[in-house]
Amino acid sequence: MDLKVLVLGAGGLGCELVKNLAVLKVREIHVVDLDTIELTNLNRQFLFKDEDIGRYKANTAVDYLSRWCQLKGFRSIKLVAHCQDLFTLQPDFYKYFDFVISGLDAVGPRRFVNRTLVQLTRDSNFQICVPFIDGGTEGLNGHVKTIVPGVTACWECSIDTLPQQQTQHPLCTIANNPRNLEHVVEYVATVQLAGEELEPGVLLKLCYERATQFGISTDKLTESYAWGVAKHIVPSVSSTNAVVAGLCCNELVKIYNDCVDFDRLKNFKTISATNGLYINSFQFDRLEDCPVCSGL
Amino acid sequence: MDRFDRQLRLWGGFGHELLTNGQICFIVERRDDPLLLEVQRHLLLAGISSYLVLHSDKQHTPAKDAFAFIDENQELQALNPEIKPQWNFLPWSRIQTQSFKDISVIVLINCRDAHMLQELSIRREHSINFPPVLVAAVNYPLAYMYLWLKEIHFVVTTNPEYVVPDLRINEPWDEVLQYTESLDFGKLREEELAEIPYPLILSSALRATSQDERPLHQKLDDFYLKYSQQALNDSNYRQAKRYARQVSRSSELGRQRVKQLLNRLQIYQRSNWHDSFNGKFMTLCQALGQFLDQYHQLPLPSEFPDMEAGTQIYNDLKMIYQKKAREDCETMEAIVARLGFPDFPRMLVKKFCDNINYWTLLEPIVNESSVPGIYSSTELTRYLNEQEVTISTHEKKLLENLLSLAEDSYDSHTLVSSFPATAFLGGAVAQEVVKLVTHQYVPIDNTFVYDLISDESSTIKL
Repeated sequence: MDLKVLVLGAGGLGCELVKNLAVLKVREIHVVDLDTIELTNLNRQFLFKDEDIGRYKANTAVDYLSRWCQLKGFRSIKLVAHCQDLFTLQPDFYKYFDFVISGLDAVGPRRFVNRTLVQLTRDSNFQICVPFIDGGTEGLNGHVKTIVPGVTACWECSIDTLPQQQTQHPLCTIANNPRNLEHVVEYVATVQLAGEELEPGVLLKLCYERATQFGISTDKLTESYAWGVAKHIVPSVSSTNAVVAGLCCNELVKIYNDCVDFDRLKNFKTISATNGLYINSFQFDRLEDCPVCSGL
Repeated sequence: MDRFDRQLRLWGGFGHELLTNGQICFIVERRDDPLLLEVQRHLLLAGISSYLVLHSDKQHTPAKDAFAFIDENQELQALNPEIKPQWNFLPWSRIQTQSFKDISVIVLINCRDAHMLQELSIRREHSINFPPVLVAAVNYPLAYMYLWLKEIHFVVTTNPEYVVPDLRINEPWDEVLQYTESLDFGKLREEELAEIPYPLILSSALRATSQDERPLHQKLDDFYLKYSQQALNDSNYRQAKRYARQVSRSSELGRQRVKQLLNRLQIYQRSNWHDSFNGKFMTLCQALGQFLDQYHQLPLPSEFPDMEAGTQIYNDLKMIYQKKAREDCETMEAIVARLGFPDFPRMLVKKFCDNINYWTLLEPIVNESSVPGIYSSTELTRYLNEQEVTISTHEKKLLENLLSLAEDSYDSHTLVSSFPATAFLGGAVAQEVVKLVTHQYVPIDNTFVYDLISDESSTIKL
């Protein structure tokens, strides 16, 4: 496919996305990721092996798939890694691409990219219009949002549909009146170890002491449990990533092949596999007073 | 930290162990089928190590549009160094003689060869026990799955995201009653009242206002505000008000739900199971029936939710609940032993009691045709005729496409690459296999079809 595609994130979704694009023989694929590989990534980030732990994700993914393309004889495919924060990339960088696909795990970077792409379309008076396809997963659930700047709802238009910030327990509860392990871990992580780099062993030890002090059962207290609460870890598995990444790339294929009517495009999808498999595709309207895309 | 940390948070050590012992059989036209490669990769990552691949004898040119690792054998093994994956390849001709006794799930991928389907159907029909068969295929833009069950499939927990706590507030047992009676709200200061967990407020209110016929949420203020002027600002009382509406119904609803499930089981009295987990679960259901007959209640789950309360009083109440949960679990163990299973795994009894409100089952279709419903135009036509008035035009169109596919007259879309559809379905199929093997989360029941161009999807029971 004669396309230049930017993939944001080389994690669980990113690995699946870049693999799909390579199989689709997309001419130029760029990957941005600041992170390095950890052991807990390896249950789903299949382009990485044990010996890659500590290496940059973007580099490792690009190295692997470059070798893969060479072996398959896909010589015209160019893969480029950017091991850096996407906030540091200038608008000129983004406008080079025909599509941006994201497999990110936070709201901030998505809003930034959305704003940048909408602004490019606004400044160029639609001379530049880079579709932004955003995938996300959590456990067995996920979403896909297809954003065509100035045409369909942008990321910011749907910001109010996000759940409230993770419910924090009131400080007085976790400080004076802890009732369960969650309260204990939150206190240790946010008060006792405030401002320090968290270390699983230290966290566990302090949690154990505090739980004992308040007579809270430590049966379920393990390193993995404490770390999960302290870092707000989201469960993830390769199958959900594949479902979402497959749908993201299918959106790209559909737009590339002119199979979509943008006026009726079902631009948002939510996916849930906890009870059967439900994929709800629907049209999300633009927000009239959207702080990012209104007036475009 | 564990390699599997992120998925253990989904199905726990219990699910992981079942996966480690799982064996999957794939039936495919070609060993390099792109969908097979996708599904296999996900299952290896999930922790399944043993595979039997039944393939056709035909020679094929190498598949296009697929992702195979550079060094497929070596790298598949490296995906998960904690297991030693094993593959066994056999031709279709072995279907008739193959024992599927140890196979957890058969996955039929992108193949609808009439002769092979016939062979498989005969093999399945002539077997008393047979593993679940998951049929999956991509004919762009359609991607579909069908679950073909021979026996009941039990789900030990649906892992619901939102739950109503099972606290039996309107059906208190002696210890809760004694504890409630030991509290004299009239003698407590406002700060102390602000530390009372809501179940105690509600159970006191229920007892004290039994003459008042209004529902609890309407009479709660009259009962409680006389003790504390500021209660409306207290978070424990706000919780009490929120949960007051659920009190009278939640225990009864849980019981009704379980009774309905047990009723559905009555026609399946069998002692011979393909999946030993299903067999064990059936025993637990029998024990539960006796428990209900005797105590008119479900065993109490041991999970006691967090709530606004003082540490001490919360811990006291939690201990009362957990003691009762432990006793109920022991009673269940004793019933199971009386049923003839003295060495039944305790962990499983506990898991069952803890998920007493969250287990469910999928039933096989009794009058099934001899080929998987998704490839039987009779089944699909019958469904379309029966449901004609209730289904939407979009869904009807989707199912008509599926029907023409079953009748072999479907015109696949060849303009575009279908690999994203393959990648999508690969994830979805692997997810269903994991659900079946771990007996957690609810698998599709029983037909799923998705049109990747119109973005219409549907789940129906054929």
